[in-house]
Amino acid sequence: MRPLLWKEWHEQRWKLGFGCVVLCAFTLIGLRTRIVSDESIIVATCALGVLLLPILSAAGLFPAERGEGTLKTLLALPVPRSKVLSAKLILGLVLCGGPLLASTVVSLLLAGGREISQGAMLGIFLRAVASGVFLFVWMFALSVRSPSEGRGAALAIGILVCWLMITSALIAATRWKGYGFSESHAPLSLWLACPFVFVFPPTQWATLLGVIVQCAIGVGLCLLTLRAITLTDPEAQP
Amino acid sequence: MRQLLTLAWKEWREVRWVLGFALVIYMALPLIGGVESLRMSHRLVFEAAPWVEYSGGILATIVAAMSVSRDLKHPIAEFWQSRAVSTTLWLLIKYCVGLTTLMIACIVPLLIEEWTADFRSNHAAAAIMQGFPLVWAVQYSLGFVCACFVRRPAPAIMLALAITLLAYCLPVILPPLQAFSFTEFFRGIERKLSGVSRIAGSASAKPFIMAAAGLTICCLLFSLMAVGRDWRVELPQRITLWSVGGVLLVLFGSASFQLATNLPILQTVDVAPSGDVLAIYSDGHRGAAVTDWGLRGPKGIPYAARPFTVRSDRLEFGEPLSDAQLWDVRSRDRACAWLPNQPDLFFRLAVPWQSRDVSLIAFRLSSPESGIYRTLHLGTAYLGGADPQLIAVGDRLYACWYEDVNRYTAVVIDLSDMDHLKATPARPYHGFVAGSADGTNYMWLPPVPGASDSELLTAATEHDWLALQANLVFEPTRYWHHNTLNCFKLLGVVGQPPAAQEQSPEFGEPSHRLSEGFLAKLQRVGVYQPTLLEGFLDLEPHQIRAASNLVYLSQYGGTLAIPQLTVFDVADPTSPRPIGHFAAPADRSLAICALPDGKVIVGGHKLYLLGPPPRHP
Repeated sequence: MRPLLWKEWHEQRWKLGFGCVVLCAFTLIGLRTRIVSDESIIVATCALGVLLLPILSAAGLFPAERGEGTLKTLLALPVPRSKVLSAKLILGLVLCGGPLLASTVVSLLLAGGREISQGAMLGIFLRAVASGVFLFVWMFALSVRSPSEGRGAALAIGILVCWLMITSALIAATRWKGYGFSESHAPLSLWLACPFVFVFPPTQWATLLGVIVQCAIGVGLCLLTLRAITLTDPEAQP
Repeated sequence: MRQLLTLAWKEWREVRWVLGFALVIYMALPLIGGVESLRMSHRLVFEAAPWVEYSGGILATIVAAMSVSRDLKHPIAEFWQSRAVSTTLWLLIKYCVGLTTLMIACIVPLLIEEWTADFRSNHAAAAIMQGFPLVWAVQYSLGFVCACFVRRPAPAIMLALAITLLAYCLPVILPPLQAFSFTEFFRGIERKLSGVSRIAGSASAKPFIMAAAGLTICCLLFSLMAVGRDWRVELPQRITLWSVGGVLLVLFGSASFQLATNLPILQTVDVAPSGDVLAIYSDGHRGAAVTDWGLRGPKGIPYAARPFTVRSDRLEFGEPLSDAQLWDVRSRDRACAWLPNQPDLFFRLAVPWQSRDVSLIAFRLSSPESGIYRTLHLGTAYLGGADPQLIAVGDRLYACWYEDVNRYTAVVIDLSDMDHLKATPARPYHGFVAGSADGTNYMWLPPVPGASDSELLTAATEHDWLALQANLVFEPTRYWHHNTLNCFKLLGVVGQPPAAQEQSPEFGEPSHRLSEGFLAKLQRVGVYQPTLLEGFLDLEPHQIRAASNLVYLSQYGGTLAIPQLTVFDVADPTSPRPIGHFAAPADRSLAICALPDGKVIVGGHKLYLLGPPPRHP
């Protein structure tokens, strides 16, 4: 497992550096110049991270290996495929969460308690990390068969757009309650399955329930991914 | 000729999907919107302009990069090199056919919109047809040249978009490049189409057109050279991402540091939790803030006044005054007054709920529990709608309100004897600065007989949009997304209004009749034109105050929806210059009160005491 992690780390660490530099610099400039409120800057940083990092991570794991033709070699190694999957999954999660957590530290150091409390700031970032991580799991699982990094990225963007559209519809249906409708028309089951449930929780307890449902979905998607790479024949020509 | 036609046919076969795709997107989506409008308003509105405006450029980049990359891939490039076809001719035809197809795909939906529009006031489609083809050509050319060098579609698209972003944003961020800004060019076209100005747009159009045409030609030449001499740039994903990220950070950093908050926050007070500060009054020693608590105010009353004392670097607040008798739902900041020579008293016009009676009430800031101190009944016919106004003029108050749509009532209240308050009828007043045909400006003064010139001028500039300092008057004006700061020199107070024909057409006769009274004659000595970046924020002026050679302008709304305070140094009134900025975390306009020592009190969701700008001693 350790050599696999080392390999992934060696290949992907520049993306972690890129994400950390871009997000931290964005946060630093925004909080230093204060052209908008601290909360707006933090929300913008989170939006940037949640929208970009999962795509960058998911497309660079299995689709990049396929595109470069190294997946065959990797799968031909005498290592269980579940370990290959785990190593890539762990690195993907680090790539998604790492830059956002680095931005959290920068924000807390620079503006913690200045306009919004440290707890509220931490809450915004943790919700963004949760959404980014679960969005990544969707992209990771569904792009595993993509033949190149470009197509993997295109598929990941498609998944992101789909979830954004579903979320917009859910938000609109939830807000109907305040416009003459007796209750929200957004199905709770769909809300809980949506990775953005942490960012726009429809009810107070939806975040907690969302963690359980999202974890269950994540496990299911990982099993699906494992099945997909198990069925991949290392001898087959790309 | 045959070869040329063959090449054109081949290119058309390859790019015709663009036409099909774009027409489906740009016509199907507006049609869906049209069906929706048909259902809602029984009128079919076909609006393709927003779709074309926002995605036309991206489509141009994608089309150019994809069409070139396909033909410059390893085996196909060798095939072309082995043919008896001039690379220049082949590439030129590829460029022209692609660009023509793109233009047709973008312009046809706009033409349909223009043709089907049943109202002529919306010029969006016409403006896009006039302004955007150049931009599409530039973006297409950038995508084309990037693809010729990189020869892979995804990195070429990202690189071209990064360069486009630079080309679009640099003229906004760097003032010397403003003449090349697309924003100014497009606003000129919009102004021209709206008939706002016949000459507007012509001044800024030429540099932009020349720059865009030059960039397009350069891109085409570089493309021909790159393919002809087989120049290639290896652009790994790492470099592409760092380039795009670097460009975004440089642009964001440059823009942010130009508008950065540089006023030190000396104190932050949450004077109205979950509420807002509506108005602040102070003479530099004492003062009062009017707050709106919504429905969570003390005793369920939304409005309250909080007295405060100004110390060296902080404000000390007293208890809020809030009582159902003192504050009714129609109370607004303009119906309040605080006089420096009677700092313990706060005055406001009261119109009880479901009543048309207008009264002046006074209460003591030092004893919140004592309730109303004095009441004076002023009238029985308040129309509602427009807020009543209360203006302090020396030791008098000037109150005015609408009795009906054509009847504007005004009274002057003498405060010299608080035990025997009395009101006398006065002429109506509706302060503003008006221009006249000979270039002289006039400022209406409250018609309060017996008041000194300085009292009248101070009272007139208590208005949100006027500020007075020594013999200078400052006024922000908004013209087509731009807020300018006008500096006027006072030439004197004249007793009679000018003849009606001297009034500028904008301010016509109704205002003239409203404001019969005294006038101050002004001469404009300076004006501050905002930079493109400041104009890009698209803010509305809210309040202006002046003290110690500084002018404080509060603005709100706009692109970022964040209220801003800008401080101008007006030591030289012929060229005012911005030296301070403050962006408050609030979603409403900021109330401001300038203190004599350069500090300023700012009210949004919270109340801030800000120090003077760093460059101001």
